Amino acid sequence: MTYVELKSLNKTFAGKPAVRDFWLSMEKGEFVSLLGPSGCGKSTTLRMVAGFEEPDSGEVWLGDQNVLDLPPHRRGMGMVFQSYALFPHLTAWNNVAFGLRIAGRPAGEIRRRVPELLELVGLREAGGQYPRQLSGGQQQRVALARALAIEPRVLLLDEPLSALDAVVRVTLREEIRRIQSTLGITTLYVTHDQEEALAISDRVVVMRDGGVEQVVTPEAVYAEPATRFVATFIGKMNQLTCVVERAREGRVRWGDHRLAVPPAATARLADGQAAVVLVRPEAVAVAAADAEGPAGENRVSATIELVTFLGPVTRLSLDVGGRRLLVDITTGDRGRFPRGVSVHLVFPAAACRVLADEASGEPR
Amino acid sequence: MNSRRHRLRRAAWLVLAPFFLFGLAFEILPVLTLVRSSFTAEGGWSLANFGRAFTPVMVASFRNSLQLSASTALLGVVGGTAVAYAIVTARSRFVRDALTALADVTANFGGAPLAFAFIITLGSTGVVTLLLKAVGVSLYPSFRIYSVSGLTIAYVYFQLPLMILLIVPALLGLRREWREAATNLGATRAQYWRRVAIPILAPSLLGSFLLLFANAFGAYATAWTLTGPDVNLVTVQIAALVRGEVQLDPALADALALVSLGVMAMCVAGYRWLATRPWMAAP
Repeated sequence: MTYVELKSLNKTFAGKPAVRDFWLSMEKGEFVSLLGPSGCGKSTTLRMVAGFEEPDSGEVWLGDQNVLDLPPHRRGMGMVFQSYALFPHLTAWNNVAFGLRIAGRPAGEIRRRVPELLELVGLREAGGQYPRQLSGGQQQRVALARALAIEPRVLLLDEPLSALDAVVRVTLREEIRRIQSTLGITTLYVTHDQEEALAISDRVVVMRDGGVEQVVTPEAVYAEPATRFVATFIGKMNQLTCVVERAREGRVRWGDHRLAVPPAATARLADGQAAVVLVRPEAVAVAAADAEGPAGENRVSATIELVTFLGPVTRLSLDVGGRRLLVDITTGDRGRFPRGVSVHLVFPAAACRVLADEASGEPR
Repeated sequence: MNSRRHRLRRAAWLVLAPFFLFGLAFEILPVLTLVRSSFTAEGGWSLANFGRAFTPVMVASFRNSLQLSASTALLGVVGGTAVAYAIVTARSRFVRDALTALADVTANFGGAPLAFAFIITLGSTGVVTLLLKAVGVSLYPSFRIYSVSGLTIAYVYFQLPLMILLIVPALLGLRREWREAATNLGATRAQYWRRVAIPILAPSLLGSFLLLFANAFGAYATAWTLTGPDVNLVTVQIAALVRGEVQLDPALADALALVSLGVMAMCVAGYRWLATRPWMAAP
């Protein structure tokens, strides 16, 4: 059942559209991330939901109530800011207690509730510390506890981890997900970090230039990007510019190579139409040129131009008849494929996704 | 590599040498001389000068100076903060820049020129006085620019813009997210100011008050030019004792100056203490 519904939100700043016709439905207890590059409108969308920006048009529904005309504190939403926004003159304890005091809750309840919340975010001992005496990660935990103290119906997080270092980010994003799951609170999360969004979300909304590109689960956004933008924004993707040869049979031509793709992927394309075949680097197998190599529907010869160590995987940049292709191999196999070596590349038709060759064409 | 670093360090010290010499000649040595002189009487080490520094007339001068400094500092803090808030929230960039530039100029307009400016505007035959008289409003004799109240107006003239310059950065430092967080947590506008903004600004307000207080306490030229010996202030007493028009007593002047220095030092120490509190917002 839909719990939060954003209907056709639009917002313009100085004549420039920041958010365009934004629709989203969220289930109760769902964790949805707004993902996109800087300036794509994700924070503006969140701020419209929170009540800090007034949309030019559109509606924000919470349950069976349109909350658009309500002030921020009457919307039942708790907000966590990118810069923590902790009150510097108050200790962590008093920051968490702030909303409860404003709400006029009894002192006994505040004395009971604040330690519970500090415990929840793992900061029971830091209640007496002022924000500047806490690390960035600790400050963000306090900010989370403060937002949860008012028992919001929806939790809004605006790039809460972007100011933290990589290790803390990973730890804290898992903490946020754990707390969200424990409380079952509906959460809208803004991030520009695709790994972060994929790791903690039930669904991801990929945004670009104020509009929605795709709303889908993390697995689907990775495996089945709807547009070339999504394909390039989420992970690495080979984009092979092709011409459809036989649409009904799933045959395309990539330079001198004939490739097989799922027939369903080309069913709505015409023979001779320009298309883009998307293949993830890890979906391509590589074998030495003189070896038998793995069998597969698509087999091309290539020369290794560059070998880049990326930790557990190593990325090969290959020349395929003047065209470039990226292939990820396990770092253990790295020694077998030095620069300049000729190899065979093999990838199954099922690993290919096909889009019409437009800037952001509909998936086919 | 190390020797190059040493050479650079030596060169840096050489560049700083004139500054240190200047500081030694015009700061350190005069203060040491002041200390020695104030603790010397009849050729020996003595506290007699300080005993004379607390005669009824001198105590009155301290009381007047403290009252004038505190009242003008308070007026400066209240008025300056209000104007500064108007500046930082002004939508027009021209208005913001113009008011800031005006504050910059007026904060540095003090001493004898300021006193003359007030004499020709609010003096007994000043332009404003005569204009008001022409429309039936007589400032004199109930008001006199050559009095403590006149001096208060003159001091506020440079205290208020100085406060603007001091508090504008603090007001700009009030982050939008604090207001939004408070609003999100249910605070009204008044609750935000009472529970968040003013407590965050409090160290800056108190620190600025102390600086304005010290600024007024040490002012001499404006007071002397405007009121002469009519208003009994510490700086006026010190000048009279040094000039020797009525009584030449540099040792007593030094003792008074040293007590004044103590007042100033307390202001600066208070300001520094406030600036290092853990609840001060990060810059």
